[in-house]
Amino acid sequence: VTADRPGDGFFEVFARRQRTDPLRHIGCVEAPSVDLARVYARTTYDEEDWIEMWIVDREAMVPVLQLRS
Amino acid sequence: LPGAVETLDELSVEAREAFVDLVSRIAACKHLLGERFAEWCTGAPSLGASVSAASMAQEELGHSRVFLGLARGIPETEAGEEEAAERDLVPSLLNEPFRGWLDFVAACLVADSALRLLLEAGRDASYAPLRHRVRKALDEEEFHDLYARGWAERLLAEGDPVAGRLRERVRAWRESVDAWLPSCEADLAALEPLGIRPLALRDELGRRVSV
Repeated sequence: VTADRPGDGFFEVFARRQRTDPLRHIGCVEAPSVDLARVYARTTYDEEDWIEMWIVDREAMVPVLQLRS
Repeated sequence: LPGAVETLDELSVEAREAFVDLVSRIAACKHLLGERFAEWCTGAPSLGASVSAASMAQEELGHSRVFLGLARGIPETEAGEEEAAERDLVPSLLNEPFRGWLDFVAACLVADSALRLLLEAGRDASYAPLRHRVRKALDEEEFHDLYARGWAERLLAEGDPVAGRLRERVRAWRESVDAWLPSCEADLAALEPLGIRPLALRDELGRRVSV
């Protein structure tokens, strides 16, 4: 299966356990669409009692600092 | 609550029989759908798709146990001359392993959608044990719908021959499910005293599922 999105098909997953917690990065999923990424994130990272979970298309992330070799 | 049904003894014999029949059909379908999904836990086209198939299998099997529990202890459950075989309570295609990944997607799109329609009919049921189970199951089913539609869109975008083969499998599942739904429609009609909405299930399924 190849991704039909212009990006690489990766979505970063963020979640929090309590309202007072910051959203933290918990992993990523590879999916050909946003809807499937939502499903994959929910089923892959559902072991903890998250109260909130978000996905971000890696293509939408804006670099601020990147270590240059 | 006004109009709430506390126990199923308050219903007529006809309504109780319809309740047992409907709940048994839902439980049987979810049991076999769970088994079919589980057969693809390691065979889906990607890791994410496989993990989701495993999760959906777990949820379907869980729903099956929960709905089966609703029918227990009702006199009509034991009154039948012989307990109906599970295979007779489900669309015929559910009795066979999926023929391939396209069949998985088609079943998820058609059979799982038909089950969601049945659950939606009971969302506001006046019998609390049913209403609570239905609402919890529907929350989980939202992701099954996303999965089915996401994969159908993905496969249709590939064009023929994949898209054509998916359409063929969806038609086959529609035929199998359409032949099964009239019994459920009859049950729903008999369950209006329980606050269950009668639905033209085949028409509604046709509106929701077209590829």
